Amino acid sequence: MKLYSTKEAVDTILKLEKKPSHKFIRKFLFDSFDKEIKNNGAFSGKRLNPPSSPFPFVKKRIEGSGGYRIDFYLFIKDFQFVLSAIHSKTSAYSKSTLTVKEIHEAQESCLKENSLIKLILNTQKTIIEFEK
Amino acid sequence: MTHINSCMNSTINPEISKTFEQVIESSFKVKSLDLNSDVDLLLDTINEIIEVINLSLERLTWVNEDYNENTLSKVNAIIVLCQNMYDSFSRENESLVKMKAKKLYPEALLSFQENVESLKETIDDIEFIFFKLRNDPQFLDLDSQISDVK
Repeated sequence: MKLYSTKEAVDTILKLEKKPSHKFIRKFLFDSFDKEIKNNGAFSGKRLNPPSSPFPFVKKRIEGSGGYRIDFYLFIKDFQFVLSAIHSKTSAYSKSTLTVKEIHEAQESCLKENSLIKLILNTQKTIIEFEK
Repeated sequence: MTHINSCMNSTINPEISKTFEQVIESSFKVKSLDLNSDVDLLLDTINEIIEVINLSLERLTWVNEDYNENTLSKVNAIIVLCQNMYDSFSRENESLVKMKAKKLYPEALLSFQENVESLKETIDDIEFIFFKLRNDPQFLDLDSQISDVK
């Protein structure tokens, strides 16, 4: 399974993790992706695109203690996951959901294949890292 | 009327009908709740109901169906029933806050409030997905472009 992210989603993660409330965001993402890989991302989360479309585009949730919540948007294509957008639901830089326009932007970012960033699951530190 | 219902049901995906039945069952459970019972027990029961509804609504987005008017009408009915349950839970929350339940049941109340909020978000997401996003030409066009990339 190959993991990628749009540049915009990586920028959001880097911005969020500077805030104390989000300092473990990459660990949460590691746990979540690890779980996704194990179940192949199938049938969990809310599917945004019609199931007649060949590749699921799914809204998923990370929940931590004290009401901590992060929503992320994932394209699942063959053996690839593309993290296309991510936003906090609580504390710093929070928003309730993405607008249609923001979802379009996330889709457009997925189409910029040359600017996709490879995600690495660092199993020793149990965090996700970005390939430079 | 029975005949009309039967004709409508015959064109509806069984998974959608199953979700509808599950939501009706949950809605009845909510109506039958004993609001004077032990708060911990009451909130546990509500939390379980919300968990079932959230999962059912989530699964609905994966049902492969050509969404015609009958199907969307059923999805809309599901949303309305869930919204009614959300309203009941919100009223229950208000009354618990008024009776200062936070002091007596801090964890149970917090968990209940988070679950109620999560139900509201799921309902909003389902409405957004079925009635806005999947009807948005630009969204569908971009989705198709992504599918075509080798």
